[in-house]
Amino acid sequence: MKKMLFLGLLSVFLFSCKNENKIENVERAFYYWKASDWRLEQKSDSILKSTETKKLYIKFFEVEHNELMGNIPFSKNRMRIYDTIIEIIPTVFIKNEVFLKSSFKELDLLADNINFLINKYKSEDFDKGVKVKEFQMDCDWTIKSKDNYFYFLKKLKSISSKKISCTLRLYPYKYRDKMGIPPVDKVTLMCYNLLNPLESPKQNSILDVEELSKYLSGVSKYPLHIDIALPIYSWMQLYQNNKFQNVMYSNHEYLIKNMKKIDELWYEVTEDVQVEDNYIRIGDKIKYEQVTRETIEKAITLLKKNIDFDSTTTVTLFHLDDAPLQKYTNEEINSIYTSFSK
Amino acid sequence: MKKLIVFILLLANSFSFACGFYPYGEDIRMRFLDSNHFNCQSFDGFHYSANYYYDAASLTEQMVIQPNDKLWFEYCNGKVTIDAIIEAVYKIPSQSFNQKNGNKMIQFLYQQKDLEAINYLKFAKSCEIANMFYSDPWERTETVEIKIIRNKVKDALKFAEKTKNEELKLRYKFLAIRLAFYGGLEQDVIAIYNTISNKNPNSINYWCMHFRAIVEQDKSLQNFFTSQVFANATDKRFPIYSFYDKEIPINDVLKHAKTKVEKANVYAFAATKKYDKSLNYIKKAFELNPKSDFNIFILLREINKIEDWVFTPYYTNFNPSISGNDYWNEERIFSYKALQKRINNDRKYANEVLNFLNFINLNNVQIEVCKAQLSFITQKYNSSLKIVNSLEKKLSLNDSLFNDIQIIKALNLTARQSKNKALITNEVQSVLLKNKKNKKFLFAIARELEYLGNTTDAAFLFSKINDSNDGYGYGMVWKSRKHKRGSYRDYFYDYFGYVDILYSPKQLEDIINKARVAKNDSEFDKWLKTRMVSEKSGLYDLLGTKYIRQNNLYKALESFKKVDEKYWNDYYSNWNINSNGSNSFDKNPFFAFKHTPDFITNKETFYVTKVSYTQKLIEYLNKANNSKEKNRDYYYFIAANGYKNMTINGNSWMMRRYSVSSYDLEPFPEDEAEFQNGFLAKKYYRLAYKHSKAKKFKALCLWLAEDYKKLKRVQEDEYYYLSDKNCYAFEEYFNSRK
Repeated sequence: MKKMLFLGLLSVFLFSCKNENKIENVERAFYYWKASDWRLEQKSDSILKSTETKKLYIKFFEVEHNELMGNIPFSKNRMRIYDTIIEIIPTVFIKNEVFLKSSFKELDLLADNINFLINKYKSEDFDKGVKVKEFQMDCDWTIKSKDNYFYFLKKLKSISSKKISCTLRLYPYKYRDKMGIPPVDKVTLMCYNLLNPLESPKQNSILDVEELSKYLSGVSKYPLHIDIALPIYSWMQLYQNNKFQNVMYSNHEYLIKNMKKIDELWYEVTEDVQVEDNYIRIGDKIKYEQVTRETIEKAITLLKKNIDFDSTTTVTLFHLDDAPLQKYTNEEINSIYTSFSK
Repeated sequence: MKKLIVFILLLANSFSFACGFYPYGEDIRMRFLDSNHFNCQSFDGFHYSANYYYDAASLTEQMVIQPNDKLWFEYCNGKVTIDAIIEAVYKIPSQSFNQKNGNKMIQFLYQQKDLEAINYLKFAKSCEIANMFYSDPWERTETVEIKIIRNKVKDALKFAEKTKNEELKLRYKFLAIRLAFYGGLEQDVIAIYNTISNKNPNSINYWCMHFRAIVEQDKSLQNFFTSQVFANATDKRFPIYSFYDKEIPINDVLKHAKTKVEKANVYAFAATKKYDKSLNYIKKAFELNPKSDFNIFILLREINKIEDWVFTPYYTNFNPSISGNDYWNEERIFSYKALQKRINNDRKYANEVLNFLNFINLNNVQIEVCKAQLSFITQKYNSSLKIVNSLEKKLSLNDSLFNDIQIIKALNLTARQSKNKALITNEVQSVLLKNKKNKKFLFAIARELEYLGNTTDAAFLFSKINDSNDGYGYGMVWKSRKHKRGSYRDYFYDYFGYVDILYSPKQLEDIINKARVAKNDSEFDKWLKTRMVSEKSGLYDLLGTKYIRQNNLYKALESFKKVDEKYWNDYYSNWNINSNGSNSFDKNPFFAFKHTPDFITNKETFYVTKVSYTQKLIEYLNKANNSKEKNRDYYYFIAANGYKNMTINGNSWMMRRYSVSSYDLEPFPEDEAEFQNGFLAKKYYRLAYKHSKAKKFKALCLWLAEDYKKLKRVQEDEYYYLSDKNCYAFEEYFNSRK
């Protein structure tokens, strides 16, 4: 009787503890997504050091399908890396069309080419001591392209002899039966850009906690190791005559002075102003989507509640760039990582 | 395409001295025969030049009809205009090729029911996308094969097979070759080429050969193809030019030539690639194909080459234009003797070329012009004039070569005169007037006169060359034979600087005497004298300066007095003692030094000009030398000050120089030692010392005479005091005279 009671209490205790899964050992990381810089900017460099971040997912290039040339890389990033403390994970973004239009033979070639080009850039741009143990593929695959994508991932693994990870959007995370489980060593769950930015005027398309919760709740443990990616950027969408024109990633503080708030996420321009190539006129509307500290905290809480993390898990922030980082202090960045362990 | 970038880079290299101008390459090359006047415009771009490519008008600028357009014109039996052809072939998209199209060529072809030609044009347009190299985006190789190209090559060959018209057949094969080339299918290029008959080759054959040449691995065969393409395909000369290995012995290349014309082309092309003597190849080219335009082109190159080797150093004292530019090298020793040796050798070579032209005896006006020039180069003046004479009867006045032979005539007439008796003859005068803008020609005549002793007319001609009113900037630059070391400033660019350094006062006086407007001045005289007459004050200033250098003060004063007042203001306004500002030239040279506090309180004040300076110097020296003068020491002292300030460190160095720089080089004006060391000042300070009785003043005299040993010996305490206080003690020491 006593034993039963004890076991009952134990199981209750265990179950209640299952409400929040903290990560014992958070591996801190950033995504680096710019294509034009030769080396890290000042603030970015300082954030890496002050947060003791030792992993960097760097987008090396993107891949698209071309009628004449087949599958080709573009938006190449040639950043020099001399810091040997940081582990670099070369990341390649591949457009879904590649997997819709290629044969297996072409995918063999693609895997070989991607492996070749990553290694070429590594040897040309990185200090010899820089560690590269993993490649990450980023593709928003669909049901139609699933087989080809998974074939490609397997091929890449065998050619490169590296750990292969891929990005996982929330949709394939939740609907894994129809979307499949990619044949990789691990996945990074992308907890941002959950909504089409142009189709959800009332919601923050970068990170809406309610939307996040819809994907996370009621789902069993994912059969692969999960790392997490969270956003720390913001943007302003410019609408002129109710038509979307452009996205502005910087100069937000400057623009705010010329706007008045009309709704939760919406502002109306009160002064004509030029920002970069945009001539913004009185009456234009701007949807300002930010990721605040509170939003992140809520998202982290949700994640801890719904995901069974491994003891060592990577938390990656998107993305490492001086402009968005101006809005966060080093402490705030630090606290994002530490929140996972509380 | 890639070669174009190389060409641009190499062309830009000649202007790479961002820190300043130094004449180089085409700036200094002497040449008289103008390739534009000969019958080889289609070789434009390849004429002799210090640049990688000759700065030439492109073929389209020359309004020449492109070979492809010409072929279509002939295909259409001359019934369609070139403009319509250009529009149809290059501009109208294939979707618009239909009977309703307003273009005359398209209409003509439909009227003739020539669907083969229509289909060919449409197919050719569909191949445009493959008409270039695609670099490998995966960076594994330099270029990448485009998949669809193989299919297009097959299609082209299929159409070639089906088409009945021979020309269109050939065009399809050309398309196939070109597609294969850019697609990296080199073996296909060769295979398709081998199916083409080259019996009566036209442009299309040579376009095919162009690609065939590029893919050929055997260098001797490649050289052969290249020379044939260059000789025959005017529109492929640039692209093919670099596909030639100079190391391959010419006999290996000749093995591939079957006809005399092909062999001639091999020799002629090899001649274009030589920087040194090409006569042997030229001889062969003439022998095998005497009437070819290619021969005139290579002959002209050779003569321009010889002109550069002989005239560039002979007239300008620069090395020939294609020599490297080592002006950085300050250790470079300049030696006219060395140049002269080479000039003489190269004249001998010119003679060999002349002998060859005499031997072949072709009745060709262009060759006769070349002979006239070669005769001049070899200094056979009368012989040259004879040829010119006979050419004057054959050429019309409008012929561009007519003016060239006038120039040769003028050069001969001038150069053949005796030393010290040379003039600008009437005939030469009229040629000069007709060729006022030809700076090289004016300069050459000037130099010939100068070498024959007529330095006056030479100077007048120099003054017409770099006249800034012309707006042409530096027309000519040259060095003197007295240069010793190299430097970035070791050349002259205007008559004034040259006359300043190298002419004696007498020679300058001759110039001044001529620089006046006379009633009976001819048109030529008026033109010749304009600048000198307007700059006469400057000439008098220069003459006075030359006399100052000789310390001939009376003569100097006489010259300075002839200078217009306005000139003093325009050029020496700094001398106005009422001017303010930190300019150190506003000091009186007898009573003040640079960077020295005022120490002579009782001073004469006067408006300082070269005239007053000289006058006062004479006055003070006269007083000082007068044994009855009480204050001889004072006058010697201030005269010495006047001389001291005329040295390089003084406040009035412009008494002796027009510019001063630590980089000044030989040849120097005759008073360089005095200018650097101030011997005259020291002499007069010592005389002041001798005639003075005041102890401290005497010490000051020795100090300023830099006679430190003596000062230490005779007045040790003053020596140490002056060593300590230097110019701060001057006032005290000067005033001790009283």
